[in-house]
Amino acid sequence: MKLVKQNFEKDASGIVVLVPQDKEDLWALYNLIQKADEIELTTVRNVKKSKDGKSGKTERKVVKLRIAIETVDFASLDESMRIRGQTVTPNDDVPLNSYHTAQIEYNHPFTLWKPDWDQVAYDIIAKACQIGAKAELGAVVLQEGVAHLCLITESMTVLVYKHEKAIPKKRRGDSSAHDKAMDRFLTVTAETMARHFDLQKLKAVLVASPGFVAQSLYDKFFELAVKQNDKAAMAAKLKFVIAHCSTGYLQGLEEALKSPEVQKQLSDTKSARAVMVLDEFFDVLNQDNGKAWYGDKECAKAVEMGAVKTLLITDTLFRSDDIPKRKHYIALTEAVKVGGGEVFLFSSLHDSGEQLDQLTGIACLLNYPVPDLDEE
Amino acid sequence: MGFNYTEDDIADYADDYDSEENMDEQITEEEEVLLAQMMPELQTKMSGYTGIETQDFREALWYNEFSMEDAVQELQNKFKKPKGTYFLTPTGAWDEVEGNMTETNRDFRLRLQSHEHILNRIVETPAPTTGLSKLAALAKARAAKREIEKESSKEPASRTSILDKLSKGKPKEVAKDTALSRKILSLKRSRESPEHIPKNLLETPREKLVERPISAQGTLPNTRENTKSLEQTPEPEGPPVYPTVPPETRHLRTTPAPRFMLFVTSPCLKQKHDEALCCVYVPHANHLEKKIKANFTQPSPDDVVLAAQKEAFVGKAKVAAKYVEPELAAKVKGLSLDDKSGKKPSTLNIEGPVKPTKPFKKIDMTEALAVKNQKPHVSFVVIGHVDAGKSTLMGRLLYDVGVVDSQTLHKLQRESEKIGKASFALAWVMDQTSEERSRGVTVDVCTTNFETGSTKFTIVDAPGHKDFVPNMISGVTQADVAVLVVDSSNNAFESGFNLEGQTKEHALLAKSLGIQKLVVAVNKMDQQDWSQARFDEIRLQLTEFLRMTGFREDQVEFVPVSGLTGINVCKAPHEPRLAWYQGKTLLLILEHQAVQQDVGTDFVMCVSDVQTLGKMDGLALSGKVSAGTLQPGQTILISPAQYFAQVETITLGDGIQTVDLAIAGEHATLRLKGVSNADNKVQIGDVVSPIDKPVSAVNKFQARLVLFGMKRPLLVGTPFILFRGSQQTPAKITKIHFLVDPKTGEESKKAPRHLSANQSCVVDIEVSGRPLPLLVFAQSRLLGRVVIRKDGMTIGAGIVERL
Repeated sequence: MKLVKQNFEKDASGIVVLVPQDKEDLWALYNLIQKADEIELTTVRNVKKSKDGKSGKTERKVVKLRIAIETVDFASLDESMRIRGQTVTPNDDVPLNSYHTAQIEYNHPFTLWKPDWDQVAYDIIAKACQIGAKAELGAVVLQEGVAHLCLITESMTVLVYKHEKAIPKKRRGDSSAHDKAMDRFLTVTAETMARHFDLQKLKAVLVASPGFVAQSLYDKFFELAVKQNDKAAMAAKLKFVIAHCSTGYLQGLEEALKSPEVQKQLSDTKSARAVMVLDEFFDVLNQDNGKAWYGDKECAKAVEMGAVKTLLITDTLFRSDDIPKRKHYIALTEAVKVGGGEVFLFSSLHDSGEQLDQLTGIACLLNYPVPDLDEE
Repeated sequence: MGFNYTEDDIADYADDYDSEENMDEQITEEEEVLLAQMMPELQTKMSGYTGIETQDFREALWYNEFSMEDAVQELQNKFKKPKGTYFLTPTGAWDEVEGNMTETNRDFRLRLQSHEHILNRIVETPAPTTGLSKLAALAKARAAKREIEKESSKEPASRTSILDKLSKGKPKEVAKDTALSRKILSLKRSRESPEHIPKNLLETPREKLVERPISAQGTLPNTRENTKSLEQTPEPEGPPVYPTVPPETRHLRTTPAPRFMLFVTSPCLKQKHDEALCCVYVPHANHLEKKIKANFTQPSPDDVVLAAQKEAFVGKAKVAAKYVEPELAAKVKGLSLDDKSGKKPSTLNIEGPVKPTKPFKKIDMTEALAVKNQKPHVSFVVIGHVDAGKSTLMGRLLYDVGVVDSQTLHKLQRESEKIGKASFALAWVMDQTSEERSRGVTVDVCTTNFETGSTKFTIVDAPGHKDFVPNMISGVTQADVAVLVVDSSNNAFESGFNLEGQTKEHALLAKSLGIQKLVVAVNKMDQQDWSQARFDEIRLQLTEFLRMTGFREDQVEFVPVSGLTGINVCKAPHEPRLAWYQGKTLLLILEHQAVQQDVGTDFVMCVSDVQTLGKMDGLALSGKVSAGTLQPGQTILISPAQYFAQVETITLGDGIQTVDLAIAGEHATLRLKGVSNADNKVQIGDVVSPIDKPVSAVNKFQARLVLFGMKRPLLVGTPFILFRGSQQTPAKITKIHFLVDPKTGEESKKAPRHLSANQSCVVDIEVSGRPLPLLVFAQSRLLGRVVIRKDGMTIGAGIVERL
């Protein structure tokens, strides 16, 4: 994302001009834009020419509109984001207060006005504008007969393709049906990988499975690459990481990301770090020593006591339309930071974030045990 | 600048655009009120006509300026009465059928189809009743019915005796499960409760038959419970419910006619069937009781009329069936969905003599079962830590009983020596894929069948490696008995037996998955010089552990063996160093492990293998029959895909030879014709049941879990893999109800926020993805068991309590 211009008033209201560039930016915007913000952008609208009070032809017209936002829709898979709201400034073609749905386009600037900018909102922009931080990871988790292809970015895991096929069992004296079906399964998966993964752009490709299926897929992929003389694929051979997990379902991905070998190879990506922190939280929770808590009340109390070492929070909570609620969570994170603690913002589009969401969306690890935090 | 995708919201424009055009058509509020007042009256007046929409009523009133007479006039003109009077004289139509009975089968079938057309029309066309009220229509229909009844009472056995059986039910089953029976009773009561059902429906027992089809359709049981209740109340041996009927003849389901429809199993029809099935089964999954009540508290006039029409046809078609030539009747019988026909030989004769040459044979069940019982079938799974020698031991067993000839073994020996793994030759009997051979580990289960003088065996060789525990679980679910192989070598036993080792995990899984008997084969004893001390040491440790796992002492047997040399596997040992061992050989022990099989209940089979036959030719589903019996010709349902098909042939074990009956405990392969699995809807782990006894597939259920050692707590939302039979699926807990004290079984009041190791609890589990076919534990010991794993560890096991 590019930040073209920013202008904040004393009352914390103000505008920024932003240029989104990829789907990661769209996700950032989805977390940034809230109800009652206003957006100014060029967009296309069907305008009806009215002659003498009679309705005539409609015409597609490019217009510049300022919209008071009511809803924001985001679909990660087809990379589209739509903003719906009422116009706040009249125009020759579009009357005041008429509804309009605009699509956010890559590489087109727009102006966003917020009545009240806060630290979290500003951090989102700042982070989205760091180019170096962006790394995309391709991942395949599979087992015999089940394969999941995903793209993992800083803030989201997108399931690109899911392949399920019944593989006949081997039989004594004849395993040809099994071998044939398995070969077919691997070929389809490898072909899908070639189709969906832009190997030049991806930072790494993780292939994880129980047993030897991952290795077989790896072999199959390069066998096909050689056959088709796919130079790009062959050049990317070093980007492949083969890992172990216990299942071919999506939860195997998290398991693979947790393993130290993979962590080493994938450097320090945020999503992998989030997985580790959440795992540490579960570990401490299992020890049941009063050092790990979750829930809004418990965390607020812990923050008040200044006991928080690490605060885990999902972006779902900040996306709340309820302004006081959002403010409350911002205050919590600020307080933790001031107290020397660490704050981890989990993306709800990752599996780890989704799990944290299930646990009220907020959790904390404490510096010292507080056994009865949940008691009034 | 390309703003191609920008979308207009035209709501604000559309508003005034429309309103202008419709100005003169607008109904004012007063008119609306008037309309509402007059509607009921008009509708009653026009009740003889069906097919009139509310909109038509409104329009008629409005255009006739709210004059009732004019509106009625207009509607009567508009909706002409049909000329046909089939409804009034069902006997007429049936006479026609009767007249054709002497024609050839083919002609008859054509005839019958044409009758179905007629009958379709009956239902589609409005009842021809000017001035004939619904009640009058019903009375007429009933008069017709009574006539039919007179006719049908001439039929042998089934028709009228059914009525007696209505009241009897099946005391045996009731006694077996009191909770179930209570439920059935309540269902029964709700169904028969007189204040909910118009009196005329209860007047004669005959009327109950009218009632039943509605219940059967409207609330078609998706669970066993209800199927049973259906068994109890209405005729146990009468025409069964026919869910295979295509939608266009749905309303005729109670008639035998659909049996003929079963001839038509072309793929194009199949889809329709599926739709019909779906609409019959799925939505009612969990609200049966409510539904049943709802259905009967208010039998709508339409239902009553429809039921009357249906009833009229029941009689007619019954008569038709009576006249079907014996040969066709035999086929019909074979096609019948009534799986009880298999269980009660006496009912087989109802529909005429059966020629044994026909593919769908009549067999004497008691005799067939007696024959099967002479040589019991034992399935056992071989489990244990990786490299304990499971595959080698099985290879040895197969070689010694003569299933594998020395030529094959010699070939394997040469091949294994070539890559420097000479000791693997015997294991290669079971490990066939190149991967398994080159890596020297078993990856997937391998099922093999053989017979000895006294017993038929199915052996399932399971992988020992940690990564393939899912395959091992699938193997265990196909067995009645487990052989736990432990490596007696120094350190090897210990490493398999420590916390991470698979000896413990496998034993735990075997217990959790319902294995009742465990044979511990202490392997590689030749390397231990057949030391009794080592054997006893291992026995002591394992006994203690197995006792904690839940195996009783009499459920476990120990035997020292050497898979590689074959000592004490099949042949009595001539090994002087083994003189201290007085027990039986492994094979002898296994021969005495016959397990009581559940033959009497409804057929259930878990699919452990799916094979496609040719391109479009059909499917072969293999698996262990967990309960009941099945014969070729019966129609089965595959859950959760909701595919159904007629069983073409059944083979047992590895056999190519077809059999006439598969019973619980046997490993059967069902060949189905005309079903393709191009869309991968049928998968390993799916459940096969008779079509009239469907197994429900659910996404959410309540289970009682026992958790094992876990490194991370289990929270609401923590993802794990759930195993049921050979099926695995990602799942999570959605609600923790309460903890259970593992010792006393008492429920604690407080629901904990998360679950940790070694707790017992009652939770709600949600399955993501495909729904999971399940039965509660009380109904099926196999389908009611689940095991959960996470991050490659078995973290818990449980039983399904509520769907």
